Amino acid sequence: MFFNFQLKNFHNSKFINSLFVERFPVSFQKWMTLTVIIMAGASLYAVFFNVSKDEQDEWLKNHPEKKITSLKLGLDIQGGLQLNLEVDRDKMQGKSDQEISDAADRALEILRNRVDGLGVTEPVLEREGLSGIVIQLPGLTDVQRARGIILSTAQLQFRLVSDRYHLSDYLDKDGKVDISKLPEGITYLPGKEESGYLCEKVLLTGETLTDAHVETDTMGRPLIAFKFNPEGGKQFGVITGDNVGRLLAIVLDDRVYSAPVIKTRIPGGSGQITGNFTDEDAADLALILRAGALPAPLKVTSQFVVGPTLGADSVKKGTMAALYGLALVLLFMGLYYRLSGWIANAGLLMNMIYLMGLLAVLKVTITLPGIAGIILTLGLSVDSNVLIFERIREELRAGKTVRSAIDAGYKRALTAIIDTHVTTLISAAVLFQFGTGPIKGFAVNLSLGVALSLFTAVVITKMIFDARKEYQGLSI
Amino acid sequence: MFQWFKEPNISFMAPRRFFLALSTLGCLAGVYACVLLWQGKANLGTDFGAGVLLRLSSEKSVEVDPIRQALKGEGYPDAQIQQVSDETSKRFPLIIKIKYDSSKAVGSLGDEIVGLFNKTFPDAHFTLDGSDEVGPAVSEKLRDDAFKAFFLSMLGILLYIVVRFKKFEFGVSAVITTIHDILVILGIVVLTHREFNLLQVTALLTLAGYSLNDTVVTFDRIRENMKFLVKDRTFLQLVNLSVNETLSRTINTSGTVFLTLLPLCIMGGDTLKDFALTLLLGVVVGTYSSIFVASPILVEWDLISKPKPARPQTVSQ
Repeated sequence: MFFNFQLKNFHNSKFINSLFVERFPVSFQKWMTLTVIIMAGASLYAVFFNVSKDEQDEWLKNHPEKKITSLKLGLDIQGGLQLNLEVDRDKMQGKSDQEISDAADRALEILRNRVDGLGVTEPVLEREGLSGIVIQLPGLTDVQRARGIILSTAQLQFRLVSDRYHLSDYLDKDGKVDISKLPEGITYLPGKEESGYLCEKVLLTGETLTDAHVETDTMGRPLIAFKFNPEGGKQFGVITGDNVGRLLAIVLDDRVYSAPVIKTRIPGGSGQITGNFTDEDAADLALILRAGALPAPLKVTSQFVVGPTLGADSVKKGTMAALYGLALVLLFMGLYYRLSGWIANAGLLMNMIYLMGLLAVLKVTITLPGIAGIILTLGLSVDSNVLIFERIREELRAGKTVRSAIDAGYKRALTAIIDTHVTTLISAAVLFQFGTGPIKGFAVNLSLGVALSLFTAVVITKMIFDARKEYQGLSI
Repeated sequence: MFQWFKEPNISFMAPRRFFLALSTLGCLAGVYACVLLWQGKANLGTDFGAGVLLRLSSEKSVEVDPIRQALKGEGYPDAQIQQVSDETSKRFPLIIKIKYDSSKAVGSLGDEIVGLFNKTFPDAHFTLDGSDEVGPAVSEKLRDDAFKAFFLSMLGILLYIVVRFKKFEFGVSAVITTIHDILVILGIVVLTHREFNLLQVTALLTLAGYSLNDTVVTFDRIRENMKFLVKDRTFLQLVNLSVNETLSRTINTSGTVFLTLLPLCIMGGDTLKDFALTLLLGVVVGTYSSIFVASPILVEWDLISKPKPARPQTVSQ
């Protein structure tokens, strides 16, 4: 059939033949050996030394106890928070898909600014689907605070507190506000600590803000000072000028932060929010106001938290398992195929070194399933050698000379080796396409490792066998 | 040279009908597992069945029963509680699984439960080491993606089989064997109530590709032998010979993968342990099926398609 025809051609192509089947000429040997060694050196350099000064500083700041490497660690290993968010469509009824998608785009930009203020080293923010946003915050530990900053809609409003109606007239027996009895145009808004206010309509919103930062008042308590743009400043001047003596409620996300008395018209386009803030609360609030309001409320569709100890613990166990697995395979190959087995082992070790180098260079994120992918590569890689060695043994039993048995072994095992690679790569490609982050890591590591093994398990081992022209016997 | 068997001549094809029957049972178990998955009765992970998975640990060991009572009092009577033994740590890890509760915002349950435990068991000092909280929208998408991935990957591998094997019956047999492997592993995972999650699907997809390898090696040998060794051998004998000839290959290729996965399965930490166990199972099932499913199907196919030799005439009295 078509594919077989191609496979045959592929098999017969000069390049493939000279690489996987024919003996390496002696002149070529030197260059190949050099290439193999240089590649190994480059891989080790990429893993352990290829780290810029900035990265080093950052690393030491975050993981003073760990050795530095340029391997990128996933959230499940270094710990952190992943939030999958979605524009709350219940609160955007009647909006078209396009409007919802635009709202998510704008929300993403605003969240970027907010997250930057969190001080996380490599945050990842991505849009997903029509209305989704995925946020990854590696190394983050204060989940509550991060959620607070990210999820706050940050709708800042300025409203007058009603002077005609009084809260005490609208309380039921339990002391709760009976919203149904409120007069038209009046909204009840809870206060930050105290009972709340009856407010009139919105006069000005946070959209006109240009800056917000923390200052301290004369008593040393933190407050948030903000500035309006010229348009907002003008409006604020008019509002304060017209309502001297009344209470102006400063409302954030439907909660009254403070409601000071307007003593005089406030020109110049700036103001303050006071309240019983802690330093951290004030800083967070200023950050949220600076970054701007979300165009639509967001809701959490899923949340993953990995504590730093849990991640460190799982990676320790995974790495130990990988080392034990490696030791078992090396031992098995060495015992069963003796010297030839150790040649395969040399190829396997090269595979691991190259794989680590590639992961570092390509900046692939190492995840827990990714470690499993590397472990599976260990077993799959020597499979090629098993196929080759069994073939060589058969040829030897059939009475061939050692040299021609080796040649025939490599030649006749090749199709089966290619089969192994193709089927594994098909599965890995699909996993990469559909998988979530950690599973993508598995797919990437597995396919890189398996692809590399074509070189390490076949070409490198053949090169070692070909270093000798004549064989008296073979330890296999 | 060291060999498991010196020139093995084991009659693998003699008990073939027994193994074919056994495998049919295995496949039926797999189909039943699919039904359970479809109906949502299987033990779904928090990624597929919306819910919350909390990893907690405490300074002092707390019995499961009082924990169950505390959770029941809070409105979670169905919570699954699992104590994890961990010799390396001085703390006592605990995993709690709770089904999705639409009245709670996603992501808020972790701190709520830790707060509850620290109030109920003040000396135990619970901390939240990690949590997965998945709402129904996300789990639906993940299920959808897993489903698509599964079919796409099966399609890819089946297509590969079709173009790989020239002979029709070889292709069909390889297809049946691959589906058999997936069904049997799925059956074992689901019917032993192990958690079925994204990683399990990943393991299944990986195995769909991997378990084919042994079959390909055996089939290639059968085809090769058919060119040279057909004389004075029946097809059954030829298949049996081929299986014997490739036996050490089959054992060693599976064996190396088995050996690398074994440590992960024993000491891999709770996320990777289950994943490795399924892969390990798959390696065993794949090896079994290449000997006891793929080749016997070829033999049966041959027996059915060829006209039976005429019986010797009994002389009527």
